[in-house]
Amino acid sequence: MKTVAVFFGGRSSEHDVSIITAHTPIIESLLATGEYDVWPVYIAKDGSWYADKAMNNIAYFKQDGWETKIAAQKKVQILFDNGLTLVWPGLMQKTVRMDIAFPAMHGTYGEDGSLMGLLRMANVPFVGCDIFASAVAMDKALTKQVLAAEGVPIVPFVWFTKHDWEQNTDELKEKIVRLRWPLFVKPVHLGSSIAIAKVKDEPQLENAIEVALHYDDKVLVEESVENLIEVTLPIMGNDEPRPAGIERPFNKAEFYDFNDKYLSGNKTGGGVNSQYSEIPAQIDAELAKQVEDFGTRTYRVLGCTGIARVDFLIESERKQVYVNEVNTLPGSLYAHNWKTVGISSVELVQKLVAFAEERFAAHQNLTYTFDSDILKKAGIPKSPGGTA
Amino acid sequence: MQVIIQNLATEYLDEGSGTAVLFLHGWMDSLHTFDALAALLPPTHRIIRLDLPGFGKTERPKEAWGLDEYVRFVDNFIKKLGVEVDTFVGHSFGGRVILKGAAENIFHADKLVLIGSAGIAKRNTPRHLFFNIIAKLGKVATAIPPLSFWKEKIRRRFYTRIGSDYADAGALQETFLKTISEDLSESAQKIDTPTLLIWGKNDTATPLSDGERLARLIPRAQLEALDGGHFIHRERPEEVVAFIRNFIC
Ligand SMILES: Nc1ncnc2c1ncn2[C@@H]1O[C@H](COP(=O)(O)OP(=O)(O)OP(=O)(O)O)[C@@H](O)[C@H]1O
Repeated sequence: MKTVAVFFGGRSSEHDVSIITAHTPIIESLLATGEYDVWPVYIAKDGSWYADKAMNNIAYFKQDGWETKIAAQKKVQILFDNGLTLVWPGLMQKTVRMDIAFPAMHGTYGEDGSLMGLLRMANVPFVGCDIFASAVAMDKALTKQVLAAEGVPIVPFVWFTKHDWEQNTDELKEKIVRLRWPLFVKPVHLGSSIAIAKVKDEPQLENAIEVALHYDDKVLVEESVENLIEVTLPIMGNDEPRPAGIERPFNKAEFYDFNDKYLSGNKTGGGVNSQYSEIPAQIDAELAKQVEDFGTRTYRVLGCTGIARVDFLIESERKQVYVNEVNTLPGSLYAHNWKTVGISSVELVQKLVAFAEERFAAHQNLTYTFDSDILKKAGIPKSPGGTA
Repeated sequence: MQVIIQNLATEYLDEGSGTAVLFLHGWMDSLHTFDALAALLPPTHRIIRLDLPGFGKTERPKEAWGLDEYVRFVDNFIKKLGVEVDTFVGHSFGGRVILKGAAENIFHADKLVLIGSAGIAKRNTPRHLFFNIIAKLGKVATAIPPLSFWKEKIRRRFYTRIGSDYADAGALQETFLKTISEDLSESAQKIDTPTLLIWGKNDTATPLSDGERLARLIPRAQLEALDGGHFIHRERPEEVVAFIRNFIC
């Protein structure tokens, strides 16, 4: 049996959502195959790591006082010795070597490429996007720049750092004024609509920028898409991306009145509940075609692998489709959507594991080391200095 | 909506247009305490409500604040919005902030409305004595183990008799002690703005006698008492709004 480590929790505001994604569908589907020895690796809010098979059951995280119970456990350590090994140190030290890693951490450290960096260092195959796609997708401005360079339509925007804003306010304002109002102001690294505002005039703009810069050091200001239809498209695969159903969530803009509200709270939950969305979205065939086309192009351009989800903003009267952002770990893998195109949760996780192994194998075939005589030529004394 | 005031992300609502009415909520409460009042006030008013620092969705200040800091904060909030407030409405702790701000001539308005307002300290009641002791011990009590133990013990004993505001204040305990230790009787005498006092006859947190005392101290005050408790604006919003409308229109 192959050992799989499922990583979840984490030091991020999406800690709780991650617990759900890890269990439904990932752990339960992996267990259902009967082919994997599943090791839950839970990272607490304080950054401590634990691994205990009791955590394979989501009920563990619903019992009273589970956080204190976990804190009393022995922490797990990770060994990167050409492979990933879980180590529970002590007199009766125990080690288990992992064949595959399955990241299920949303947001900071999990979805931004940090965890992927770690897994690359360990030289273990891991599910989902690699470090580069994850890191770019984590920055809404960077994502737009990469897409724009490849001709994928995005909403016109202006970005700046806190420092830029403080130093060149007037210059930036001039640029911003040239955008078509109303505008959206967003921190580039955050999700869950934190500190996002729609603004209609300059005083509102300045306030909104101040709020966004309170949460992030980089902010973007973009044109608002009116007559908005929002859709999202989950995609999987490595070299041959395959889209799921185009999904129109009803629990997004409809729940917020952007005309007079800044969004300040966290939205509850991360996964879009199928009851509140429509799959496939009832949109024009022409728009649907563009969504699939821009979606798969976005996936390729960012170098996504395994799975990702592309969000779109559609101006429904002018029939304009824009890519809004990319999520490299869709909540609960959007299993509800994959089901509508005939892929069960069990098949989904099996495919994702296969993609991980495929990418890993391709990497192993690349040449990463080159013989060089640079050290010999470097004029360094042959014997270690001082000891002779 | 959010705005940054003194580097704190501050949650507020700014609805309607017309003469501006600013609402300040009580301790451990939020701007939503005024939902019913806001919905019932006629659309000829601009209704502004905010979560005070440490409550609702507004961030908590890094240090413990006293009443003056809250007054300054509200003043900065008003300036940031660039609004001229015609009427201040405050409940409980919010009333305390208004009493202080108006007396110090920091808040300028045509009318004040204080609902079950705090600000009158009761001398020689167990509650007052308790907080006085705790306030004086302050941080020392928490630093010295036997004392902190002793403090816990009294805290528990007084808990039911005194109400839970202090015990519930959590990270804001020090702020609570700083803000409640100030008696505003003198401030009240300095207020020359017409003031409407609305009280629940069965208010146990700030009894009707506090309202009567304020009515005597504030030169241009009128007191209206309704059947109900400390949260009279939630219990009888229609009647409370009727009084406010008559008073400010
Ligand atoms: N340019 C725009 N025009 C119109 N509506 C927009 C625009 N940008 C964002 N929105 C609205 O704001 C919502 C949140 O924006 P966005 O998805 O960019 O932020 P997020 O923090 O990543 O949110 P989420 O976690 O919901 O994806 C969108 O779902 C959409 O309803």
